[in-house]
Amino acid sequence: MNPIVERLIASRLWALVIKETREILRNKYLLFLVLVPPILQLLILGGALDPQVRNLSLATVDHAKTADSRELLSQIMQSDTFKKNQLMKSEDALAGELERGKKTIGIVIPSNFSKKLQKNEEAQVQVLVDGADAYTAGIASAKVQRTIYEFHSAAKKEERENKVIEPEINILYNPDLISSWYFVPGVLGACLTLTGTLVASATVLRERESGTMEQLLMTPASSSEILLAKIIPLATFLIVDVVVAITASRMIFGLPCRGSFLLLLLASALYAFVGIGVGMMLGSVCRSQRQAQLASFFINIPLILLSGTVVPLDTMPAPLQAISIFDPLRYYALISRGVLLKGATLDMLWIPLVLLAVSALVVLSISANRFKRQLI
Amino acid sequence: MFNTFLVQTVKELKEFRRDRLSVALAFLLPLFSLLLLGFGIRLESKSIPVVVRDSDNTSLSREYIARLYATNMFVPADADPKESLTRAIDRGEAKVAVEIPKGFTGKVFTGSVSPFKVYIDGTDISNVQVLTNSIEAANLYFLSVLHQTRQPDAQLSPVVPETRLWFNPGREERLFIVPGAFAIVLWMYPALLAAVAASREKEQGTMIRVYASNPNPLSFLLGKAAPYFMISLVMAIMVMTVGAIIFNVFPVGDPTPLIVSTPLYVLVSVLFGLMLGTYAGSQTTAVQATSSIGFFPCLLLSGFVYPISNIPFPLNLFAIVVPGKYFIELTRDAFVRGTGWSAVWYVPVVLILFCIVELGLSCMALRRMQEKD
Repeated sequence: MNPIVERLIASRLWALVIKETREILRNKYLLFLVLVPPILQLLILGGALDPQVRNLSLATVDHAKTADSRELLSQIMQSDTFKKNQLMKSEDALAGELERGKKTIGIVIPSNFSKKLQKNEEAQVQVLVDGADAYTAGIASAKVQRTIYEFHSAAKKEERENKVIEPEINILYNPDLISSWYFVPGVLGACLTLTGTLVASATVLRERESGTMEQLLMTPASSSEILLAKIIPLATFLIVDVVVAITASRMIFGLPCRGSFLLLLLASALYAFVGIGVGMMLGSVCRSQRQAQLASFFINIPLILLSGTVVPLDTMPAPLQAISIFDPLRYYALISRGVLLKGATLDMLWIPLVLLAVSALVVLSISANRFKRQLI
Repeated sequence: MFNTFLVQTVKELKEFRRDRLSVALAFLLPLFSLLLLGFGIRLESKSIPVVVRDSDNTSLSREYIARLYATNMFVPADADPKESLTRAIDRGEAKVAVEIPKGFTGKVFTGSVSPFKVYIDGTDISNVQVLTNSIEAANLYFLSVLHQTRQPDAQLSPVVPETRLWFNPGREERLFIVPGAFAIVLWMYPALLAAVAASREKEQGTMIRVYASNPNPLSFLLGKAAPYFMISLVMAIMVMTVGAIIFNVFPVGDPTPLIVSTPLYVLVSVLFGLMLGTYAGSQTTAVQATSSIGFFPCLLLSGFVYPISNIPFPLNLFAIVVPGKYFIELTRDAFVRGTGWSAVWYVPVVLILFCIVELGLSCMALRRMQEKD
């Protein structure tokens, strides 16, 4: 056998890795929490969430009650933006529905609607929009307005001018807009962050709180060996998490892996190191588990929010986008979406990959440094 | 009975005060998160990088492209349009690519349909709908202008919508995000504090001692919850005040639904943390459980950012058990619509139900602990 491999197996590091792995395996509850909820969550969120605005409810008051007005309403209902149209008797009833937040849009068609159309006058339709949900309101009202502008009364349909310019819109990578394909790679990264930091800080602090850290130090193992031994099993568990999550999403949502799975694993490993490194750093700064856990939210929440994994990044104000350059999760999300959906190759992704490696190195060396100083 | 309750409360508060860093975090974290959520989350797309290849290069095609940019949504991407357009999207340099083919103008003038290709990056699906809408709207507008220049007397459109945006006329996203952020922040931190406190006591084995000195599991739980309930109320007042000042979001209409429901919501949160704390064996598991059962569902399944009305049947059951969903409906009403009780009467009722269920589950956990020891 290769002497280097032999030395590695016989080394203290290996013994320490086994010790740490046993320690994690013994805490069944924690093990369960590391493996099961992130994956379940990923599947529930992936299946349930749909960032597209559709199936809204509409309320209408049709004073005209003519073929034209019914045609207009049915054209509005044609898209999947709206699901239910409730006819109301009066404007007051319609206003009540909007005020209680039951309907997103109310449409009032005046009684002279068809007459004006026949006389070639401009007919007006009132569109009332609940602006409380600004985003939905924007999409829904744009849809209604466009349908109304395009509307030509049924009688004059033949006069309708040809649309001479037609944008032919192609949606790449996810043409059916399956939301799980968007959420799974992102939420996966966010789960890695939360789990990695929490568990890592806990393992360090537990050892300190129970006073066994000093005992470990008395052994001939060097502090970097102790640290590495703590990191390796955790990173392995996190990578198992990734593999299980990707496989499950593949079976349930048909999530493709168009690029190299190995590349994704490499990025996941690097990112797991970042998460664990952050946890170790917290573990060396804080004095108790409670402090570390509260402090981890200071790091994790911006890390997750500024990464573009759960909420879009492009729409953020410029200063926050500038800060997000320092967010390693942003690069992990870029790589995982790139590999899974775009089939991106190493030559497209080497920059984020290097940045990920650099941040892993930085975080780990800071925590190793602090760790060492504390030990003395 | 009341005496033991009071003693327990004072004991908890003293214990909390001793850990200075935790006190600081308990008040700084919610504010920090509020600012981050309030400033950071926006859904309306702006400055989307687009790469345009104009193979036609006539005044009409240039005008058309100018029309696209006039939607204020696109900025030219840092990509070479001579290269393959989809490659720019592959590399993430552009989110949208537009290709106007040769002969575009000629077709427009002969009156035949002149198609052009648009490619949209589908990885970020939250953007796709807005992008599609605005490209089609820009197209429609261009067509109507074109039509008018040819036939100046022609009517642009026979029907004109007269749109009125209620409650939020400027369609400002801060009015949509900030009331939701209140609900997220007041869900996470009270639960976290309570979970850490309960699980620490359990980890150190003092929980059973305190419990043994108390005759009634319910009064034990309430005594444990009371101090964190008070801390969280202070947190709630602070978060809403700071939110009002910084984001200019004030309660409109009848404030009583907000005044009644906020303490209830905070209580649901504290009891949730307490419940997880009594079930979990260690602080790590308690926090891991709070953050994984609490954080993501509340952020994503509460209707805070993404609509939940379109979740299909069996899966929408997951959203129904997220208390944040109800409180967000309430805060949006209290801070934006101002309709009052007739719109949100059910919120306090649901919150009380949550409290009862959580208390019941925690009592069960306590009984189990008793049997074990």
